[in-house]
Amino acid sequence: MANQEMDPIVQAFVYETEGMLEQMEQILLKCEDNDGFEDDDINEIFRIMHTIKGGAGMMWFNKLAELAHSLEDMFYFLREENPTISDISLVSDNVLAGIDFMKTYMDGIKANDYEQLEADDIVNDIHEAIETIKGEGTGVKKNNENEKEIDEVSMEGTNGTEEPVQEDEMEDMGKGKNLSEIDEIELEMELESDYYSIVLTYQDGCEMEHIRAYQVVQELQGKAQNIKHFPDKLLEGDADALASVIRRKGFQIHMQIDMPLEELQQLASNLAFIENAVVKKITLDEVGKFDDSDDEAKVVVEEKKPAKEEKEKKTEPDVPVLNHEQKRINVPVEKLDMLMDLVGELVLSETMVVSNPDLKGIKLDNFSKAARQHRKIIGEVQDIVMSIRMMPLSTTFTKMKRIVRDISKKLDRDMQIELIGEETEVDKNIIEQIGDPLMHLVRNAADHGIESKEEREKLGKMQPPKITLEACNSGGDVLIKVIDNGKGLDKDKILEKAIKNNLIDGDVSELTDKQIYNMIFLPGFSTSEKITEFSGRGVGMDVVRNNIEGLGGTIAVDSVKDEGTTVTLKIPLTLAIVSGMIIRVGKAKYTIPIMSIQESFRPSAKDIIIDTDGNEMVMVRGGCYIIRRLSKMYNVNNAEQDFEKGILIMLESNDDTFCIFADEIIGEQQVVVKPLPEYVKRFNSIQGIAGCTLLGDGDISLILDVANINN
Amino acid sequence: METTKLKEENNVATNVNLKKEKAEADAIVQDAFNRTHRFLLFELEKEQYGIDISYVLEIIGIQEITYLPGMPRFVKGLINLRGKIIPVIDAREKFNKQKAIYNDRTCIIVLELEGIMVGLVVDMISDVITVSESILEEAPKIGKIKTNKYISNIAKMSDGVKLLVDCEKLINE
Repeated sequence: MANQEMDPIVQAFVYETEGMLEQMEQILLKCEDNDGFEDDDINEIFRIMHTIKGGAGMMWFNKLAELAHSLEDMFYFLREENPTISDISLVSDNVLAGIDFMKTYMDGIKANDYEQLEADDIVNDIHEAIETIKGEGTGVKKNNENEKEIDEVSMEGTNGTEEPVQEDEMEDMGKGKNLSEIDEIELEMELESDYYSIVLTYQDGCEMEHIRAYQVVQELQGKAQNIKHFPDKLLEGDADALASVIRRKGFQIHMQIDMPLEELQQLASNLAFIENAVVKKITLDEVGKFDDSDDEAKVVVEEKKPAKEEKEKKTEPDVPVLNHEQKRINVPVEKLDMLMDLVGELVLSETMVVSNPDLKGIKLDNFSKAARQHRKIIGEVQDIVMSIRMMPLSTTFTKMKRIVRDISKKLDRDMQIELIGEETEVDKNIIEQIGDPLMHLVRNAADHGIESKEEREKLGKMQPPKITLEACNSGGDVLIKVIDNGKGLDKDKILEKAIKNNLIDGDVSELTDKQIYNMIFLPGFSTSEKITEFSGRGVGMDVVRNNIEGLGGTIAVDSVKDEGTTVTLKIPLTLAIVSGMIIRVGKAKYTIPIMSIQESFRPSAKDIIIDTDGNEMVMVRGGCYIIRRLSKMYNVNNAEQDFEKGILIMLESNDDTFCIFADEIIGEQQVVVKPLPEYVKRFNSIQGIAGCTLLGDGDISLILDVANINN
Repeated sequence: METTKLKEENNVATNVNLKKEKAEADAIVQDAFNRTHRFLLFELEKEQYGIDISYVLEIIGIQEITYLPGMPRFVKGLINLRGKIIPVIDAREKFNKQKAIYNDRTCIIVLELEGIMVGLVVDMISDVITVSESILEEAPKIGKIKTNKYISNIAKMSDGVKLLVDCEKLINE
């Protein structure tokens, strides 16, 4: 919600920064794997930090800018000096800490609660790390001096030498105005507020000059009077052209302000990204006469080329990234949801047109030909819209990389992580909801699954400890596996605990290994004796299972002692579309997710049992299952009462198997799941209904929530 | 949003075959200085009720209602309004009146309040009226209790008294 109140510029900044941080983290982890930094990587990180620093400075996120600046220093040093780094973690630990802080900061901005966040410790650590790399000792006293040095070096490095630009600027000024006049008139103006001309030149490559200029003007409002500036419209028109004009001519401001020249000069020079600020007193007559002598169009055309070339020279890795960005559009998810809804409606209305009762019995060759074509196109649109919502799992997987790295460091286990099939795509909603359970599983594997170094040595396990994350498509589902080559699950311990907690209600000897292993998903089950930092904080595997089942997925575990454990998640590709079986009860139509249907059959009277409480049950292949009559549960009139005339559908969910009784099965259909309207959710008394959907003929069908129907 | 609402207002006007359309348009101009409200009039058991037209999205004829289990008695179920699924409440049952059998004059008024859409089943739609605040009266009280909590005001018109429904209470309570 806070997002909506955010300034769009800040919103864009947060969005972009988050993306860049993600990218940077990946680069860093890759470098850590390779145990060294490639030149490209250093440049890339340097570029990212530079951009974030610039953006943050512009938005007044000072802590962020400060931190980004120190990281920029670090990578500037790496780039220029190319020192041999004995321990890469010296760099990566600090940078990761920095990234974490920036991520927290981003969350803070979103919640409008970032002011109290302090980065000083991290900044100090980073400077210390630079010192260490430099090999000049880690004395804190020296720190400040060196810091400054680095600052200066970095300024020069990124921005080219100062002097020539200054000269250019003076020339520019000279061309446009009669500078010589100014001094003479100066004395006369002394008594009143003075008129000043300020020409600001921005550093090369600082980007978005016009926005920065706009901010300067905003700052001046209230302090100064009669503010005039060139270019005069900063937020309108072609941003690139504006920026290029400012780049060439400087940003020129004329204003009346009650402040001595020196102070103003001081203030202007201290603005962010200012290369050079020329402050002059001017006469009243000169106010508003700007140096706009150059034909603007010409400036744009001429200036664009050299500017770009220059840029290419300076920051080479920029170019491919820019191209990449232009091919993507960021769209709010709500718009996609709306599009999806509309396409759903389109599909329905198509059915309504083509199978319109008015057309019944009329032979229309051309019409049905056109209708077929129509249907085909709509089908394609539907596919495309679905595919837009699909996102690769790679972002989620990469996060796991970081977790494994952290645990590995902390516990000194040298764990490796392998990602397979991270390009597999699933619906965005699912990606969002799968992160937590997956993280839990990975933590479990890294913390409890993998043994300590000594244990592995004792067991004679030669291969390095490794966690594999694997994703692949399988029909309408995605399989995600978390595999570790650790100690495996302890069958006896699980059994012992299960018996202690009364979780087994059959003969223990009848249980298969797999059944025993899957008991870890039962509520209140944690085999680890000790609570560690990374897992075992009372959140058990049952929570993971609930999360996954909430997504309509399933979870299973298999294990071999001393060889490892594999947890397999099976998740539907999308939540929005479910393949459902449509059944009829009286006049009402219900949809059951096909996933939970075991079988359907018509019972014979002799298989039906009624117990003393009036509960109806059916015997199937020696098993006895309770029957729920939907007509009774939902007060449906005119429903079939005779079991032999209707049909029983056996459903399974959460190890609970039962049958429901319906009049008939209408058929299978892909349905678009719609939530129940807000208004009816208030009454909160609908049991066993997960949502609703529209059928091909426009009828509404309620989707049964199999997990809750038998409660 | 404003324009669609206006359009719908117009639709309503034609739907109910408004005779005084021109006169009313004039009245609106005239009353621009006074504070006026426009109300959609509907009938329930011979009584005339009015509902502030700014809440009304559209009026549709009665259609197949899908029964939704586990709801209070007055929630009749769900309808499909061009792909949107909307709950329907029966005004008679909400106001504790006798049930009526739906016929071809029965209408569903689709209301929207703070993003929540609800259909209201009424016996029939009769008119759209413009009421200036001067002729509005507080709903009468019996003792200290209001007679009907869903009625906000009463408008005394030449052709009788109209009960004006408090839309927010109708939906939120």
